[in-house]
Amino acid sequence: MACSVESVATPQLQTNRLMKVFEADSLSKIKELHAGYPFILIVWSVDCLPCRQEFDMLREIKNTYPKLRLSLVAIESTQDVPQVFQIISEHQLLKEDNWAFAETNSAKLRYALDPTWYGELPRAYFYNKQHSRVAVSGKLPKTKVIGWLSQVSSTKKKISP
Amino acid sequence: MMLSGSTVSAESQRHDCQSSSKVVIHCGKTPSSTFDSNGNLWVVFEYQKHLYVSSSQDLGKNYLPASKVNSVPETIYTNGENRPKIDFGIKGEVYLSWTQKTDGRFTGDIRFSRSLDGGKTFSNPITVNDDGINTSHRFESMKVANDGTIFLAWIDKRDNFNIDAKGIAIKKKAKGLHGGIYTSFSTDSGKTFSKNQKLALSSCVCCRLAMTPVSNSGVAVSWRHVYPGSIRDHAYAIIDAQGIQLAPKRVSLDNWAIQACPHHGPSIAEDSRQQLHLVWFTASDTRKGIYYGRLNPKTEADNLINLSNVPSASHPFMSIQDNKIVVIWKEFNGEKNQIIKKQSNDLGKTWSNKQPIAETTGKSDHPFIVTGKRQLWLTWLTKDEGFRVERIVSVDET
Repeated sequence: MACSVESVATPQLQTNRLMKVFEADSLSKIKELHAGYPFILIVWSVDCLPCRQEFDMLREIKNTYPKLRLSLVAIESTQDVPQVFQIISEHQLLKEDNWAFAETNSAKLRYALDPTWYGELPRAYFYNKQHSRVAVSGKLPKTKVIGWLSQVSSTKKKISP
Repeated sequence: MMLSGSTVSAESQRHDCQSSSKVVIHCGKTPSSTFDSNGNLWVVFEYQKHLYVSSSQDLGKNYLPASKVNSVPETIYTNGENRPKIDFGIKGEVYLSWTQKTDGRFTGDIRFSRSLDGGKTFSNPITVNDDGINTSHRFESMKVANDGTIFLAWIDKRDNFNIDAKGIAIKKKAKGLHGGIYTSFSTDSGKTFSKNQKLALSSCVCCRLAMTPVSNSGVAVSWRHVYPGSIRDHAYAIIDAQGIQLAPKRVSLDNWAIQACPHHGPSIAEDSRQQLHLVWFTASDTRKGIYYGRLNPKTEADNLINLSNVPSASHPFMSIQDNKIVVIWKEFNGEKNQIIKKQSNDLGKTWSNKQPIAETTGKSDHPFIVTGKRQLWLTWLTKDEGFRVERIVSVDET
């Protein structure tokens, strides 16, 4: 089956532009990107069904509160698992800060993210403005994210679900 | 019982995966391996949408040219928890199972193929799940029982569908649907398989199953279950060709309540006194890490031991020979991936300290133990060193 060079090249270029490669020092870069702001770092995997359900919930919240700052980190590399990009695209989260592991499911990169993490997914890290963080395992309830947003929001405006 | 052809030297092929045209395990994905009765090591692995089988007469230093299993390419799951399996029939038949990726998300079919000519040629793959629904039938485990019956068990989502009057599968709208554990067996060396039978409903959907032959016939199966309250503790059962001999029984009260994917299945083994043992991963409030226990059909597993509570401790595997229980798993020490071992020489009463037995800097697969030539061997596919086969301990060592 013949494929044009263009049709093969374009998806890769698109992926490279929209998904950064997560390496051992990438967490500091994520924090720099959100310097002075609270944000949620979500770790996910292509093989994780609750992660996709969580994406649906985050998309809903973002529609109502676009200022929610997110960084999404897939534990697969886009080279091994091209679906990483497709899944983010399907959940309309391409405009978020997206990362994919340099190597699929690498112990070194998981350790760099969090040496106390037992590997269960989804995993969320709630960073406050000062960037101290709280880790939460499992699918996030919407109420938890809304509650956190109300807490960290600098405006007095009530965050509605 | 050997494949024909000249040998392929492991050393010359190991680091040449990009340009070499020869198919060799070091460049493949998610292998499984086992010894035949002559002490030859057999491996099955995925490579570019095909399964391959290869064998070695010298414990993995050199391999005979690999036999291609499926002539028609198909996408095969190679995600660590879901890998192809290999086992021998009692007359030397070579049996393979794997999960094929089908259209859609989280879908798959259970596939089987066999060789009746010592691994030279393999039968056209068949699909073992019989519901005809395009849904998840994945994470199969396969074992040949002591009487030669082949057992397959897998995670199956057919019960998340209703079939309407036109025979079309419609997904149920209920929330909180999980997986089921379904089984099938063959008593004619894999020529035909039984109607699928339901063993359990409400299993976790992303962790490997564990299976081991028991007694004279049948197998014990263990999996991560989902108990009410989204508690993801383990269960086990015993089945044979007549049906369920021990209905699903909860292994332990870890009480890990979470809506998450641990991607972390157990490992099971039976000792010569027909006592079953299990190792598993949990991260509940009260129990974190890798646990060992002796399965009990009436109570929680006893002799519970926390083998490791290090956060990176993962994918434990257990082998039992005579009074020896050997458990291995992976840990990351900040620099390297290590394989850690704990051993008991008295069937679990006392245990050695943790001991690193292998390490690698780059990416690596899950570790396994295979038994052959009266030795227990670590088998471990690593990016830097290829497929490693390294002696752990002699079966006869006291």
